[in-house]
Amino acid sequence: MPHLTIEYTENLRDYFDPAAAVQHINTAVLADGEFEPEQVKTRALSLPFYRVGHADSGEAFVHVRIHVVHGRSLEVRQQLGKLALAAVQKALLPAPGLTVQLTAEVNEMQAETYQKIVISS
Amino acid sequence: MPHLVLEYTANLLPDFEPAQALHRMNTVLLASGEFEPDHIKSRAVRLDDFLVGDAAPGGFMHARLHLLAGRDASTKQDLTEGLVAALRSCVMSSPVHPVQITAEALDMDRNAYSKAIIRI
Repeated sequence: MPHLTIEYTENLRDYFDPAAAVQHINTAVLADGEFEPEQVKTRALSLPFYRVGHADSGEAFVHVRIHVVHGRSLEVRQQLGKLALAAVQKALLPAPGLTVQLTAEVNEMQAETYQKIVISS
Repeated sequence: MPHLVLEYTANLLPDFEPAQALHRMNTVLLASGEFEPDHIKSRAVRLDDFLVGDAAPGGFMHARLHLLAGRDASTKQDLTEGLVAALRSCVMSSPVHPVQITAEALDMDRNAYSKAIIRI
């Protein structure tokens, strides 16, 4: 915890750098000081099948889903979402002919049912 | 918002066409009148590794509709029923193996949702 998932539509492949995005987002989240470095687990997923409304082309999106254990204030969660959005935007080049929607949501996981073990090498 | 995520098991291919499913589900969401067209962001995710019960034959598809909190239960029920019907129309009437089709509606925290739109 936190778990971060970046989804991006495949038509951004020449304009969005997922490796840079996971770096930028972890840097931003860690700078916020809420989490220890090894706690921040981030992945990026390309979406080969997507559709925005009824547009056959010209639309793209990047969505960040952040899951934190319940208990952080609304201000902290809002800040996380804003940081995440700004971070993924840094990994995005101008995409000619595409409208790109960037969104971020912050979800709370129940502390009582979140489980974790760490297997050390 | 809304974000629609369709998961489908790989054994439904090639008869199942994810692009067609997204098209039909977006049609249902638009027809509900709840959303602006370009707000509806949908994707289909193939599941290569899955197990139904004790290795039962067949597959499943599951639609997750993420909505900003505030819609009542009956609106959400209508939306998920419509999504299941749309997916049903994408499966042949008598498939060789069973196909389970499910949909759920989830609330996103309206206060912790961020959005930017980039146009060149």
